[in-house]
Amino acid sequence: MKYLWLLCLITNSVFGQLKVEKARFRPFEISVSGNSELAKIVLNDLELSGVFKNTLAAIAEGTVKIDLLQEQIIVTANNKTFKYKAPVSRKLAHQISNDVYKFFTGESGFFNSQIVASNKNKQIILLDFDGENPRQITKNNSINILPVLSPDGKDILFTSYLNKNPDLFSIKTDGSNLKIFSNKSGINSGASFAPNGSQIALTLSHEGKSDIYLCDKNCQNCKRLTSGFSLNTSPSFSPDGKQIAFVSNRSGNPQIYTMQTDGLNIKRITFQGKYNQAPKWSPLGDLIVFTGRDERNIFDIFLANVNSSQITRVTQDQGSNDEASFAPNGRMIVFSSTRNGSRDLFVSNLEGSFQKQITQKSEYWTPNWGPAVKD
Amino acid sequence: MTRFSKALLASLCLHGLLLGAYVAFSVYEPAVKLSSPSIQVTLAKLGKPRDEKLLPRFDASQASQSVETKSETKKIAAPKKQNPLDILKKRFGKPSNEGKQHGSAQGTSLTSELADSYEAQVLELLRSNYEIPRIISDREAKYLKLLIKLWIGPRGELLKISVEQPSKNIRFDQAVLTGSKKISSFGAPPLQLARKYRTEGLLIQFCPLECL
Repeated sequence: MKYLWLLCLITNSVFGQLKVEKARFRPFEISVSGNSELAKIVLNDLELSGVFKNTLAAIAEGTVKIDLLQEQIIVTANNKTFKYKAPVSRKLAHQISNDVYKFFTGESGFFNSQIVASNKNKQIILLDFDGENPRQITKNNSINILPVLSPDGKDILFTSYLNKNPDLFSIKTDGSNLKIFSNKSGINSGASFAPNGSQIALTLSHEGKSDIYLCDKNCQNCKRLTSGFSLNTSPSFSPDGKQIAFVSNRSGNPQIYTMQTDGLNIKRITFQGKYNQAPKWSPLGDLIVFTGRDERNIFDIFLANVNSSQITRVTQDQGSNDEASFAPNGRMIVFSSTRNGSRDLFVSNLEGSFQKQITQKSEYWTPNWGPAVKD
Repeated sequence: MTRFSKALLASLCLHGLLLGAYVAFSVYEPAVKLSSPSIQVTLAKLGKPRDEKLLPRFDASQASQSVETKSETKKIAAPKKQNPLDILKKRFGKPSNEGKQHGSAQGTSLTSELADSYEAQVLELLRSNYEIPRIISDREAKYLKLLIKLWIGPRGELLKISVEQPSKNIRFDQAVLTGSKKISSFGAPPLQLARKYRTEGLLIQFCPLECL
């Protein structure tokens, strides 16, 4: 043991170097049994989180048993018991997953959250976080794109050509109450809600070129945050609501920047690559996910550390991957990928070591992962 | 009760509380610690340092492979040298235009959506700024198809226009060209497409009614 360092030194000089790889998470092995309908959904939820892995009860590190007793559903996670009222439903299964996730990890789950995206017919679609239960929200013959869910999960903002101009519309998640949110001449798009819902950052071009504007929640009082000759788009609020990440070509090509919500203190985040776009700030505040084009001219998903500007890769050698959005707990992302032919939605952990397809042979674009809805 | 007994009792209570807190914390500690994953260490061969300006790549598997193969080369004869291009073709398949200077062949979902929507915006503006010459009959209007290319500046101004494929009715072509020149701005193109529309242009298929 005393001479281990010497052995390491010799080994290092002869063979190469000891490379400390990025930390990797080992999934927690779990067994879910009982009511087959609920157990199937709960197990799928837990596995989709990237934290759990299904195994046999005999060798599992944790067990979950779901018993259906007339009007009551009893869930036992190791020695802890949870009680629910019947009937059995997908919503109830997601609630069970949330409780089990919190019991084992100490953190809140996101299994009742939803994802909004636009489909091949340019209509807005709302899906459960696992890609199930897709519902068409807009039903018109126009182009509806770039949807985003509000912090309370009740409204969707999106850009539509209903009035022959790219205007921003809002609609309830049940498809009701469609109304114009911003209809200035030119582009009205790329909305991002402040975490408390009091303000909205968006891209407008009514003054000649695309710039970032900060408006109140009714889009009445708007203030331009960016200026100069460059184009500035795709704003995304930080979780504390004090900063905004955005894309600008002020350095000659699209790169990711951050600024305060008063437009001051602009800081460039990405210096690697020549084409970085679509930033989304993590709910944990430390990372920004973006789509970047690498030196092989392929688009992939990357993460940028806000403080150190260090870039890490999430996807590689698997089709075109773009437009990522964080899960409400900041530990997963959803993005669209063409790796299996059609443009489908995938969820991934932040290391890229766990990636799973959640839609099949669909055409979903620009997914946005909404908040964890409180029951 | 003496002072010593009181101090002893207080000390016992304090220790009891601390022990209780420790036990409670140990019991309710989550089974999965999401923020403390294990760190993996591998023995990697030293190579040429990667250019810091390039985006990072996963190379752990390649690095470990290179270490493994080093010892094997002593036993097995060196394989026949392959053309690097053949190796790349074998690995990545047919080279695609994905991600070329002005975007990928398919484009990212964002650029593709923006292109669709901006094209719709341009088409709408063109439609509202020209009139079908009266001399063109309704029957003929059904079959006319004009392909034009517009070069658009960063503020939406028309830089240049050219006819890529005439419709065979010069009056119709002329009406479209005149109408397009009346438009002071098509609106600022999306950032991701501004360069493309300025240098390569935007191809628009234009029909008096609906394109068949």
